[in-house]
Amino acid sequence: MTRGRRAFRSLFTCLASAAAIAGAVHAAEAQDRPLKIIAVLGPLGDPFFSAMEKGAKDAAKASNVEFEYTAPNGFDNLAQDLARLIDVGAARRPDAMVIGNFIPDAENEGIRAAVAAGIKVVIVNTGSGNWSELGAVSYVGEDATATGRKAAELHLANGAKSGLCVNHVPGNPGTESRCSGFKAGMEAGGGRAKVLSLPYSSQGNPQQIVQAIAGELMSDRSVDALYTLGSGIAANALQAVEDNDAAARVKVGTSDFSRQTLEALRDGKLAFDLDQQPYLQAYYGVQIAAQYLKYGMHPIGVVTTGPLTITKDNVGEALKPGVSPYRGAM
Amino acid sequence: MGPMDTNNEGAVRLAAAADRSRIALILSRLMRHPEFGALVGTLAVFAFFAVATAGNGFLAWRGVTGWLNVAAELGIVAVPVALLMIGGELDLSIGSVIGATSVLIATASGLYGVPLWISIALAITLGVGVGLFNGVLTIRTGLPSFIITLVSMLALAGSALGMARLLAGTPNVSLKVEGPLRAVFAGRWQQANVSILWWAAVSLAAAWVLFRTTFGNWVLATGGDARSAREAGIRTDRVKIVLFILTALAAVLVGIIQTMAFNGGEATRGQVYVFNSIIASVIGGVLLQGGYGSPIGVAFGAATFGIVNVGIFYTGWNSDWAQLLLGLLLLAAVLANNLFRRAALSA
Repeated sequence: MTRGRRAFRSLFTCLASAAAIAGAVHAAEAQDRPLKIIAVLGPLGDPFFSAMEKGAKDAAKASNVEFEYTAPNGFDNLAQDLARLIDVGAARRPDAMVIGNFIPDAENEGIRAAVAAGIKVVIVNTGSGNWSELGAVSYVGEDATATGRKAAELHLANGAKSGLCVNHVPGNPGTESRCSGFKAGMEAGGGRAKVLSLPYSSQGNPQQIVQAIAGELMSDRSVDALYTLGSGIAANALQAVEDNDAAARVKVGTSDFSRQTLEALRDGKLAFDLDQQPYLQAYYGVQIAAQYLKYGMHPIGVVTTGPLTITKDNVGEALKPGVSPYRGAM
Repeated sequence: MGPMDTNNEGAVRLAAAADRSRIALILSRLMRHPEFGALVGTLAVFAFFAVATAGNGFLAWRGVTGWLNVAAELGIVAVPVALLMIGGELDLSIGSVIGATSVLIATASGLYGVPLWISIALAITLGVGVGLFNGVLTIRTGLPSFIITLVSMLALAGSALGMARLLAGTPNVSLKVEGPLRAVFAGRWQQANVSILWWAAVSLAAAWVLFRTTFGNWVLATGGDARSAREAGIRTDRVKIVLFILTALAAVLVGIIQTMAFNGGEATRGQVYVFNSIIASVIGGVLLQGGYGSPIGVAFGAATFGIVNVGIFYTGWNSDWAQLLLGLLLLAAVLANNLFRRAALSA
């Protein structure tokens, strides 16, 4: 009985002190509640954005902040979806937002409103042109026009004269800039280039994309350099070239990654792959926001993550099993 | 000029008139076939591109296999979709079934090393399951199949994406297949895919079922007038469930073909087939309201779609305008088709 009571008392003391500790921790949290960051980025059905999500989450964990990834479900209603997600995100009063400015005309207003409401904004991936005038802290990403120009340079160095940029998302400012940069680059180097816009009715149907590229290559036999803007399209372009028995004449280079494009690089089928490093874009984006909120520090100007040129010589690193998920290629 | 001559002339005239009426009879008999309008549409579109792409290789083997490959993969789905439309229902979930199949097979065999035939069996089970779900729910709830299959389309697309990202960490999973199964589903002879044979087999089998079997009669009756069909003792509910299973299985087949042909699966692949299979059916002469149509016509519809979609890139014209031309040519094909059907029904 006594023993039991003593045990009970010590248990009570134990519980009481545990409660006291918990209360103290809670009080500390109330003073210094975890920072909350909301991202508005691209659909996770795209492996590219899967890598971005991974980067953002890793950075949030490392910086000990609360983080949420929001994105449209697909690309078909992008402008409205993004504008809505920015408004909804800002209305939830996070401390900072990490936003891809994919469609500036639709997103600028919401971004300005978020900044005006005191939310710190970091622009990532797209939006190198106007991030500072929107009042954002910084921009992390590639210069899409420079990436297109780099693709032209690499093709020209291989002796190409006539380029074709395959735009699978006509109207998207990022893909349009890459194509126009590619065209300008080819022309500056004494060559020429045109743009092949794939219609909506071919989206998500690799067979149709293969045959469209093959048809274009048949109708213009001068083309000796293809530049594609996504990893799936790159694989389709390689097949079209192979089907046309034109591998000796037509070289294929691409932006963005997948296991297939990396293996094609290794096997010497793909000439180059321009990586904009989506994992880093989101990682740095979240980290910059967290560090600015905590310590008031931030990079001055833009943080450039692309284009990182991958060729047969340095593809081995990206193909390592522990590495490839971070590169956006399983 | 004797009376004899006049008689002779009359006989000749009579004979000529008879000839003309025989030609008219053959023509009208031909036009009565529901696939005739679709055939004319395909030939017209082919002639257009044969001229417009002069010398660019559209008529060469490479060009012909190009549009045949596209038409084949579309036709495999469009023909069963057309049967379902003839039976009076729609299926919006086929795109998700294609994407889910490709992810399922690529994840199971590519990531976990499950033998390929087992993952194919799993995919077929998935197809039957989705078909049963669509069919039974449409019958039991009495809701339009548009709604029910919209639900399964969204649910399946979401789970395919979720599972792929959970298990593989990415929505794109690679899978390299060699050996006899590749030959069956993604074999190639020069640039022609084996899917062309599947397309022909599916179309012929569907035509035989629709026009030569009791089940075919039930399908036509179910879509034409479900009430009288039921009064005549036809189990319209079973007919519809079977048709839903067939469309899902066709989508599984295309999913398997694409997974092997393009070395991997993508959760987001295939959605475009929902719309394109309906387009091919309508170009092929199937009535949107059901009860009328022909699988062979739909095979021509898929061919027209393939010719237009691939042909445009052989013209070398500015591709920005491709969709406008696609729209106009499809409109022309459908109008021509309609004209023939009306002529056929009034003749």
